Amino acid sequence: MKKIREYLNPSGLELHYKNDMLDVTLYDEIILLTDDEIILSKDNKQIVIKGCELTLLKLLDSEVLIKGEIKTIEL
Amino acid sequence: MKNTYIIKIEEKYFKRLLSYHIYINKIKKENNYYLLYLDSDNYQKLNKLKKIYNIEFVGYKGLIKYKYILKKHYPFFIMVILGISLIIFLSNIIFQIDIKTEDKEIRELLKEELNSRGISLYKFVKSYEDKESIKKDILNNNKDKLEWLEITRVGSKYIVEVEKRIINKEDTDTKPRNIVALKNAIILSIEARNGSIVKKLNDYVKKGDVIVSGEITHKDEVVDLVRADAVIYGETWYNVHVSYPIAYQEKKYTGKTKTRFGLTLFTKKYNLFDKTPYKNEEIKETNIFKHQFLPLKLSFEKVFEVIDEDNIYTVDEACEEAVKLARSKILAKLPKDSKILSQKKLKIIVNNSTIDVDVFFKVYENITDTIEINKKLDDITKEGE
Repeated sequence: MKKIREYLNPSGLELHYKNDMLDVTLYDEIILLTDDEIILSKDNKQIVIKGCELTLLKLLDSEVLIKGEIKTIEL
Repeated sequence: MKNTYIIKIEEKYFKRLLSYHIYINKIKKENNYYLLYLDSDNYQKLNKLKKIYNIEFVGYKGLIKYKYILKKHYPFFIMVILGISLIIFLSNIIFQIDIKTEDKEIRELLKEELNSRGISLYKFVKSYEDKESIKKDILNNNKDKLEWLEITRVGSKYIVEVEKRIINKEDTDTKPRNIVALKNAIILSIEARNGSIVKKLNDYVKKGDVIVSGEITHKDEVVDLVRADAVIYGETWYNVHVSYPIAYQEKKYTGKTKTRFGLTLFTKKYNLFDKTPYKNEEIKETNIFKHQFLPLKLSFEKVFEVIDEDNIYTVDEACEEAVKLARSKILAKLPKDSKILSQKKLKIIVNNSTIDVDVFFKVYENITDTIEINKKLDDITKEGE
């Protein structure tokens, strides 16, 4: 049941990397946005994405799509 | 399609938007600015920050785009709708009724019949069913006059084709009659099918003289009354007086030509792209567009400049022209099977600006007329006794 509830109403942070784009869902806030670093937060923890020429392609309430040369993702 | 607002914002301001919780469906980075695609709620939020962050509205996507275009260009759309409505309205109005008959009486009869049934100028066209019913109605009301009737609608024009009913009275009427002279003449030809010929060729007859009699005689006694039938041609005479101007105008081409477009709306004509039209001109017209229903035409015109040159006839020339005019006058008066046998100028008077000529014509024409014999055979026999 817990798995089904989680599938229907996910609550955890998810990161999907596809076609040189990183899709981050269910984040809380964007803390920093620069060309080579983007910091997001989730439950008072930080997700640090580093790379070159990082830009946002989508910025929604719970989803952000990042494009650019992503080098590291720190959780 | 989802309604989307597109705005442009400088790169330096974009990052500051994050703190306002504005959500962006799509972000496009250009040189030093961003194009943001927002929904309506987020656009309203962003619009409040317009003055602070130098935000520029670029456009719409989705249904709202068409709503915006309609709002912006509404006078144009209203005009288009009005124009189409006007064309539909005018296409359903009768602008012309062409009754194809030479018979004046039938033409007037049809005009009245159509008018009383709502087919007249500047009224609405009838439906096919109504038109057919009107056609049948007219035919039923005029059985003795109309053989066949067809009403065709070509756009805003009705073409009425009609066949007159010919009741051949000659076949049914058997009353005895005489063939008499229609006017004073010398008989040139007699073609008798029935009756007794009482005049010879080259006889002079006065109007009303019997030429072929319906009374058949034997030994000076009338033995039968028949319906005389004959066609008589005779020589008749006419005096025609003509007054002809000595001065005349002759149309001459100057050699100057030009081309232009002409627009005809109803009966009014407009010359397009021709600011200096010739004073006198002759036009050779080629239609580019002619509306099937409406009196609207666009044509290409080749225009020739002409001038009217004043000339004066000599007396002989004027006299010749006057005789030609007299000939055309007399021919217009005569039936088609007539011909002029000879002509002679009787009197010529030259005035200041005109010449008066009297022309005498000898004409070959049909002089057949009929008169019924109202007496009975018994009465004629008694009169003889």
